[in-house]
Amino acid sequence: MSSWHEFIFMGKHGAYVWSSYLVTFIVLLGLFIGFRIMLRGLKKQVIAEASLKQSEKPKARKLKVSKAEQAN
Amino acid sequence: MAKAWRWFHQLGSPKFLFQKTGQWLPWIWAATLILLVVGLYYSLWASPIEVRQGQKHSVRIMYIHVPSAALSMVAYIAMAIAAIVGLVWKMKVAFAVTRSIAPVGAAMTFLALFTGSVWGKPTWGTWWEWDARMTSELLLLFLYLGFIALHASFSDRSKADKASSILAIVGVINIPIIYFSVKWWNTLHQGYSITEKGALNPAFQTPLFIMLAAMYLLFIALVLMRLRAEIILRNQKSRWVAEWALGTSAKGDKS
Amino acid sequence: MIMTLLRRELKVARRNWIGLAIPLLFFIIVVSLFPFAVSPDAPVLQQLAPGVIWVAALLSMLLSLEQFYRSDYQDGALEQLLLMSSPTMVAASKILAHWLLTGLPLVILSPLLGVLMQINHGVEHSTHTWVLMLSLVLGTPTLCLLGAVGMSLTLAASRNGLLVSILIIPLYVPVLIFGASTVTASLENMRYNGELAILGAFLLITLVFAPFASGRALKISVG
Repeated sequence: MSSWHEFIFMGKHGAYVWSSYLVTFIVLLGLFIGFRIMLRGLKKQVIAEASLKQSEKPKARKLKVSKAEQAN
Repeated sequence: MAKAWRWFHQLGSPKFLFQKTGQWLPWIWAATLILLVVGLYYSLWASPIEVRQGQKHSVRIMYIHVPSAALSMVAYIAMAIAAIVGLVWKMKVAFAVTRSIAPVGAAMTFLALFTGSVWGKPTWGTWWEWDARMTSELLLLFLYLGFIALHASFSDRSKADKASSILAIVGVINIPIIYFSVKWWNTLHQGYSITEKGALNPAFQTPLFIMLAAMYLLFIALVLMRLRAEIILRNQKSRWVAEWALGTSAKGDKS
Repeated sequence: MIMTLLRRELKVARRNWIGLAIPLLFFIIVVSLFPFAVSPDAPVLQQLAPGVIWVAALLSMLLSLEQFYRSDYQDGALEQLLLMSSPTMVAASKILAHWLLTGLPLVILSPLLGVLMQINHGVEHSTHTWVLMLSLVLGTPTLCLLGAVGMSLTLAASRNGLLVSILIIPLYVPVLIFGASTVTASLENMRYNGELAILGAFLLITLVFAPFASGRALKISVG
């Protein structure tokens, strides 16, 4: 490679070379982000469920009490 | 040997595997990035252009085409091995591995097809040729998509695992048959072979090997990422998962 | 044991003979579309004949798969069968019945389609029809065997009608290649023993592993 110009245009084949690299990059990045989002989402779900389980019994009672108070 | 077996059994534990992969992943990513930077420097800048076959700069596509094509097949074989391990040793984690390899392998197959097509246009003047390798690669993509579709159509996960594992094994028996059939068919129709082998100039070897190593690592890293998500998905009810989720979120959301 | 199972399959099929006739009708109708779509010229049709007849045969085999497994799975008969004998045996009897009731009729009907597709154009006494039948005799059992694996895998799946085609068609490609090229070789007056031998080899390979794989898959679907 002798110049930036050659690097970008690749001697008339720039579109082919760069589109290959670009699509590869996009697909792999897509997988990376997708898997990351998947793990994050699952983690949020687990946390939500865990906190629900922790607070289930006491909160349910409290909720009833507070509702009753509101009704009064 | 005994140590290897103990490792094998420990890897069968989702918790152990999740923790270990969590420790390995940063290192694998670091190595991948280093190799990718070096590999891209060579393949896009510091490597010569191909003159003998008139490919000029389009030879640079080879540095991603060859690794993705190699990985598309290796991934399928790895998936079938994991399927056998899962079915024979009733190892549940192996099924999670098959499910994790499938999307990454399918992506690699797609990339091999796409880059092959884009490489073919300037070099041979055609986007698509019913050449043995391209056709087998296309059928391989269908096999991957079939695997994913089959796995997704069960409500019962253990059935989905077993059924799609059988499909993976049947598929891996068929891949060589498909390849040789298509090859024979192709020569019968006298289609010119666009993938003729020539001794690869050493100048092209360095970037190719670096990119091969980089893509292999990248593949492993992506599969492990998917595997970690899959393990959590399958063990949502376990206590260790809840501990992990609460523990890491307390430490400032580091995952 | 397999005779008892086979007799049962045939008895069930006799009650449902319309269901068996539909794929055969499909076979004929699909082939008869090509003269309308391409050209009624005899030489053109003759050239297309091997491919068209083979593709139509393949699709009609795919269509007929559904009823051979679906109803038994839904009414619980399959579960009973699996309790009675080994999964491989059940799968083998189903495959055999499937071939006898759809593959064999396809073979018998194929000369008619050869006539429709002008397979004997330009020759007085030709063996093309026999070659076509022979290729189907060797090829359709392989299609049955592979189809059985695909169908058993998708029995318990939620969307199965088209799913089985997606799974199985890539595996059908080698059979299609060699089946159609047997006939093409015959049309071009070339030797076709090699192709027939390979079709036979495919049949033997699938015969070894497909009943077993299909049996395992049936077990998974039911269990």
